[in-house]
Amino acid sequence: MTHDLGGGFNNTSKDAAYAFRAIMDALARPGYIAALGGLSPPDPLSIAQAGIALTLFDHETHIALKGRYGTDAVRAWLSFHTGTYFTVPEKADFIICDHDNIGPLDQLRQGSDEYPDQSATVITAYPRLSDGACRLTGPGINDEVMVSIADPSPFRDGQRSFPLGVDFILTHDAHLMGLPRTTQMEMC
Amino acid sequence: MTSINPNSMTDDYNFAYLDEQTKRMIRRGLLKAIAIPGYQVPFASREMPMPYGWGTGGVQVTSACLTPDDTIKVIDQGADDTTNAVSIRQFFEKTALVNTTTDTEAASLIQTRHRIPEHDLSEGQILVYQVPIPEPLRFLEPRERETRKMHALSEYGLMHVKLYEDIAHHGHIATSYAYPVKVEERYVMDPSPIPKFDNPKMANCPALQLFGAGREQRLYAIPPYCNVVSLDFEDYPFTRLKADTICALCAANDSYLDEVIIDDSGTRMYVCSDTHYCEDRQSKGHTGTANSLDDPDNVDRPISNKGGDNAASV
Amino acid sequence: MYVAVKGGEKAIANAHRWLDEERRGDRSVAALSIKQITEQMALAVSRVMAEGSLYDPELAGLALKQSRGDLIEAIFLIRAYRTTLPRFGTSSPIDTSAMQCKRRISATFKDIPGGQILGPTFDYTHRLLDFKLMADGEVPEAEQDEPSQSSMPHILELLNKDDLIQKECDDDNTANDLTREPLTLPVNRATRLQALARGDEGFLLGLGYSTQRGFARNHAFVGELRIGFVTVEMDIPELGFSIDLGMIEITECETVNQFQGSKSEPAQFTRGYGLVLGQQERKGIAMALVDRALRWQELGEDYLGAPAQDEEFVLSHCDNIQATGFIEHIKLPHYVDFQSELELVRQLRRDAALSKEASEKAAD
Repeated sequence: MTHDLGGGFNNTSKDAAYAFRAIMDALARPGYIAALGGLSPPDPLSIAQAGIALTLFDHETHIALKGRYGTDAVRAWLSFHTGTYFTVPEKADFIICDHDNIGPLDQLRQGSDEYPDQSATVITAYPRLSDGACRLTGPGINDEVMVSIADPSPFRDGQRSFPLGVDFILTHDAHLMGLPRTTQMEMC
Repeated sequence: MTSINPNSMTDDYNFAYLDEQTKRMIRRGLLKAIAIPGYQVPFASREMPMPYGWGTGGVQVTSACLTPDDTIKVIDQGADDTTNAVSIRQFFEKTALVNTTTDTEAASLIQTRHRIPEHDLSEGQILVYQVPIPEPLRFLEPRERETRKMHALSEYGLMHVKLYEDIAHHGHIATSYAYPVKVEERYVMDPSPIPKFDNPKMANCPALQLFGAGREQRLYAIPPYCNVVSLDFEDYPFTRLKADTICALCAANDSYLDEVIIDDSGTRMYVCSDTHYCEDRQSKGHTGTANSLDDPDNVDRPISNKGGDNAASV
Repeated sequence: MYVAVKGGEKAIANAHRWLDEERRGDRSVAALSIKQITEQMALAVSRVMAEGSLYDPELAGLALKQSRGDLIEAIFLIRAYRTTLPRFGTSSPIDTSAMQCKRRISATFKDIPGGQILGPTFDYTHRLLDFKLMADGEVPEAEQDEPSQSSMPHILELLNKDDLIQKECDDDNTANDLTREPLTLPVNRATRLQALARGDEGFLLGLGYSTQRGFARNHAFVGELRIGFVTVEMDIPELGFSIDLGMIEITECETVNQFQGSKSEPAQFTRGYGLVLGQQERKGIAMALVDRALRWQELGEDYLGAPAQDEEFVLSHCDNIQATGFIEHIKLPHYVDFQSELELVRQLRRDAALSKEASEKAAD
């Protein structure tokens, strides 16, 4: 069976540069909703998930595909465009999943006291990214920001205490929002 | 044998010089640096076509962040026209074909050595610092294995002892630049060799602050609106420090001043270190003592700036 | 009226033109060709290749010409160029026992299988300036034998048969690529050797010398020093066999060091190892001494506080491109920092004067 491998970056270095700025903006300013464009990845990868993958994955990364993302078509597309390695979530640098399928965070890499950066980043689809009833505070946020997260627990239960932890990028279609380990979440 | 195009740089090198694999490695590191404010992320710094110690860390960070739409400003010692700033700006003009500016407010990305601009930075701007020694504890403990442990355990007693010994010996904390800060109440961080006058600008800053140390292979970051506190003691609070006068060119009383020796008998004048800030003020009609035409002393006597290497004549 | 001087851009352009002029020198003298450099300054080319970590004599020759003979500047040019080259893969380990030796000596045995080969060495030349070279430098062609095809076993392997010398076991550790991964301490020996192989010759020379003078002395003899060409091969998984990439010249040195032993283990000699691109025997020997000193932990020795035993000290300071950059960067403008120090010193002096005045008043 052959897979459609088209739909990647047109101009690798410039497209990746724009995409990275959007991703960095999202993580530096939790609650801010950034957007990516110009990609047509195979289902069920969203444009945002695909853009993050093409910007950050390569043969030096190990990634895990959870649930409906673990298809041959997704694997073939990511392999072709990035050369990344596939592994289990426990060992992964990046995990692509749905928000209801993140799993227990204490099973993921959260770094060590000396190297807290050696930790996983979870790229998870979220049903809606907009204003909402969840209050975010912390670094990157001027005072506070309200976002449409219905339940903070999948992102916070099982996080070890700072500086250790897992970082999240929430995605919906072409949109993304960063949720680093430093962000405090509270339902109002 | 390798074939090389002897003429053009842009044809032979990728956008913004670094190859994509290197950029991805730096980009992954930057995201973790942002997620752990003040923590030093090790990265595989590349050998750049400029010497270590001259901004290779900052250049790699800038290269990983640049988009073709950026407008960049490069300063060294606060000035756009110092030789190393000129050289780095030309590097990005050549390799990324981006627009450049000296205007702090018009720049989307500012690479700096040793200063934070006087103009307030705004949301969406990125300030990239060139860092020589990223480890604030290095001069107290030369071994990386030890200092990494100290950060892991939040064991910063040594730093407090050093600052306290300063007070016992001098009556003041005897650190006037690269003055250590604590970020988000967790990591003690080296702000790079900026004068401590600039330290308060790092706190609650709307811009994203990124730090690159090429030779020492470290990246770190302060996200916008971050809690950044200069270390001090209740009875010896942190104070800013600048020459106690105003700029001789634009009469600013709120900017960091360079001291310039203007004659053989050692006469001094003080001018803004931030050249754009100073020019902007002058263009708005502010004048200081040195460029006031009413001052007879200044009409016939040309004064040259011998304070920096930007005056080098060759 | 004061006008701040804005000369940066023009000054740089002028300085570079002046540099080009000085590099060319007197135009009535023929310009050097790269071929002349690679043929007649071969040892400088070797050093640039070794510390530049790129085996390409022609580029090393170009770098030497461009740098006006400044070796560290030439190494820098090569390193900066090397960074931009794509990586196609990793070659198989070279087999130095299959080396076509042009020089092979042992200080520990009078005669050795395969024979001692003195080769093209400065050893036993009298260091008298040869004024003939000033005239034209032409020398009669030396007679050449067929290259010896007999095998060249490593001499220390002969000692190994009787268990007299510590065995080097493959610990399955591959070297990290120091140019692609940050150095995180402690490192394995393979990575350590990689750092030393690209390390500064002068730095290693001084450190190696320090071990001989008693700073972690380890009583070394050169078990074997060999210089010659070896084949570089690379496995191509898609092809299912390895291909020959060509030959490179290398220098390899193995030292025999003071014996070790304990109540449970009988006494045995230990070893140090040096391997350098090109003909670089001074560096090869120094590297083996430093390698041996760094192995104190693995060999159950005490840490004596000697610089050559200190992995972090040696590895953090052996790279001359890092060192030269940071040493030389203090000539860049630092007037902002200096200004803040100046203000602080003035403040301290003011305070001191005030308190002196106050105490004098109190005394009155």
